[in-house]
Amino acid sequence: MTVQVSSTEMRPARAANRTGAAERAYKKRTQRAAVHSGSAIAVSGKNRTGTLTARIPFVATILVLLAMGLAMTLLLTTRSAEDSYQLSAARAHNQSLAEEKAALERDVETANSAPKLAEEAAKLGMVPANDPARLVVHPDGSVEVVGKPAPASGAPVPPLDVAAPPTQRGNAVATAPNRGTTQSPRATPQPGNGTEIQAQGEQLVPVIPSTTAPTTAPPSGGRR
Amino acid sequence: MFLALGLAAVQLLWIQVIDAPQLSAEAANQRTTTEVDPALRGSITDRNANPIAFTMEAKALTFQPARVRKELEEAKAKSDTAPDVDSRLDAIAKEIHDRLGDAAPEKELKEKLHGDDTFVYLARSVDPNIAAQISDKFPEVGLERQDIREYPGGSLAANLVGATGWDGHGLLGLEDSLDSTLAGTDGSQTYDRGSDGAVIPGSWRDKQPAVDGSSVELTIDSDLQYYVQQQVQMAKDKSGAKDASAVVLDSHTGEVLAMSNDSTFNPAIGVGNNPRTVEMGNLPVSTPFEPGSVNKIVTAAAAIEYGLTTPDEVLEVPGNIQMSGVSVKDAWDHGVAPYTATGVFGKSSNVGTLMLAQRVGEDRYADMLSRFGLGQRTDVGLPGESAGNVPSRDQWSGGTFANLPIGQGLSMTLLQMTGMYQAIANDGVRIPPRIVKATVDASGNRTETEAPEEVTVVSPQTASTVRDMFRSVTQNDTGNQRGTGVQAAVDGYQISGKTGTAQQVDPACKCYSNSNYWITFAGIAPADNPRYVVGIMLNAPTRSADGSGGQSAAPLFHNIASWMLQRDSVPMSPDPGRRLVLQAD
Repeated sequence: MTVQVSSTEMRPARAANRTGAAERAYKKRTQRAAVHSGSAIAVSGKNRTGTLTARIPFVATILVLLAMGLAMTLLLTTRSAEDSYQLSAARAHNQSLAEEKAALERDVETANSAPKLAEEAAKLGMVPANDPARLVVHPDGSVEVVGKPAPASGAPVPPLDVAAPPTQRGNAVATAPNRGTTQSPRATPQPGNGTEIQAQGEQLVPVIPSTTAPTTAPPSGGRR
Repeated sequence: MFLALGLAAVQLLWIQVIDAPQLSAEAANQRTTTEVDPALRGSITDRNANPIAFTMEAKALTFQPARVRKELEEAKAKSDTAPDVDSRLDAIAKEIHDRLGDAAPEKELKEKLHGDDTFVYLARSVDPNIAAQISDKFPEVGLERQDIREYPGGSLAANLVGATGWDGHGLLGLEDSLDSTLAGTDGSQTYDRGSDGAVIPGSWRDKQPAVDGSSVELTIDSDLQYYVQQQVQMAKDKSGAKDASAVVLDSHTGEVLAMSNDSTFNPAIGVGNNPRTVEMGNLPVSTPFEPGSVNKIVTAAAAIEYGLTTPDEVLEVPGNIQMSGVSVKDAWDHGVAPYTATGVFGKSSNVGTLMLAQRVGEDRYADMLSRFGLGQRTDVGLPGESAGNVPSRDQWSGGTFANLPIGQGLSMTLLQMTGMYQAIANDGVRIPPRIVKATVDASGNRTETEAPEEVTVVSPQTASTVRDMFRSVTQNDTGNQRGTGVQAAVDGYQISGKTGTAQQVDPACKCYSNSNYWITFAGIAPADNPRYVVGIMLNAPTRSADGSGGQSAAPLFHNIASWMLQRDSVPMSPDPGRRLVLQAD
């Protein structure tokens, strides 16, 4: 006579007496029972990876890392480009200060030169003092006058140079040696003549007014 | 749809694989820029580091009229708010003129802006600050770097230093002969740039730094050079000479303290802007002349050195002498006069000199000429130096030995002439003159010029004796003891010197002229403790250097010597020296 085993009753298995096939059959029965009852029963053996919600933290971490990486890259490249612009601006500022400094140096040197000093002295009405008398103090303390003391006389000496046109001095300014970019790349587009354009061997007349030099005179330095 | 996808795939493949190298190359071409790093030209300074020539940066304003006008017209066509072409150009011209003043006349600027050229320079040598402001306001105006050479002293030492040309390299003078030292080497660097011109960071490569030019320090003293230039110019004007030159050497080192001729040009206004009458050369080294009586020092030195005479020996000097078939007489008529050896030179007697020269003999005389450096270049370091001309011993004819001792029949430059007296000033040791004291490279390393080889001409005793004898030239007296160059004397100092008058050659008769002379003077100051040697030459003057009668360069020597002795606070000679006897009673 066949005994109907109720699904709700589980008979303890006598493991020692089972064969492999019997074991598998028991397992299948358990599973069917679990399916019918609707309860999830863990089966010994293979473990399944977790359900969806268990995976979220890991994915989120990876996404965040990725995003951070991208953001960092973006930030750094932007910063780098920004620095490049700032560097150009700083260089330009430096250059203009250096130019100013060199211009002042140039003015000092010109004013300090012998011809300029002589000219200024002449303007003040000073004349060269030729043959000054000299006082010689002898060992015994007496003083001897050698030469004839007389006030300096004569006209101020005229300047030696052909006078330079006055405005030319004011324009020409110099800069200290410029070790950076000579034409620092400008931050704004420059639709005009760029640095690439060079005059090729053009003979140029300096744009200076001069009563003695007509504009058709040979260019300075152009004669070879 | 698959077709479209296929086409896209093919195009992708094409660009990325087949066209890739070419496109990459084009892109690289667009971004890569090689920038020249120009070397800064070295400066030229005097012995006290005062600059005589140095380089500064300025900007040139450039413009492309045809292209810019086209762009403006197109912009105007597109939008009404764009500026009107003519008013824009006029605004540019006005702005530039306002900033630069007379250097850029508005009318000329307008002509250029409205012209049809593809490229013009609107202005040159513009202050970089001003240029930057103009360019900011009007981006159509371009800027080009321009190195300009500044000469703060103008024509100071211009005959020595010369000038640079349009390309920044030397044209004449030391700027040209020392160009390789001064110019340096340009460098370069490569970088990538974006379309707006900004540098792509991290793309600098292939940097070759520029090697700046070395600076050159001359032996010239600026103040003295200026004074000498001024005095030489005044002497030329007052004496009516064709030209005048002067050289000042340091007695003991042979360094050139000043070297000048008249009518020097002014490089500061541009070489081409000088009047046509200026002297662009450097006469004291380039233009030899027959020295005349100044050359008698060779006879004096030889006669004393070989013990053939003493300063007080009385020579019975006739009014003329027959020598080797040539008759030579003195500049003044006289019978047999009892001149001492000192007096022969003090009074500049040709006959007396030839009598002493005969005692020296031709061979010893020729040797002495070469020891004094005549007929050889001094290698002073200046371009265009002449060696002068001394007939070689085996080419002497009968009349040669009657001419050479009195300074005719040979030629020398003013520098060589002054060098002879430097030997006597320096106890008989001649030091060839030099003009470059040191070279300082871009990193500040200083290299002194090699000291020249010294030549012993005579012994120190001889030199001292000869200096003493030649004091007679400046000795003042109402009677027979008066020298020929009294105007050269300086109160309180012993002065040694020699006047010279050499006949110039008259091309018409191919003989010596009786109206045109080279007037020379060479002197040592002070004679008892020499510091300076001055040589002067006036070319065919009609009056003396100070405008007074006669034709003498002695007043110019006096001015220069007096100025220097005062400037350097040279101690006065303890005594005026013994009274010399030029003519025995």
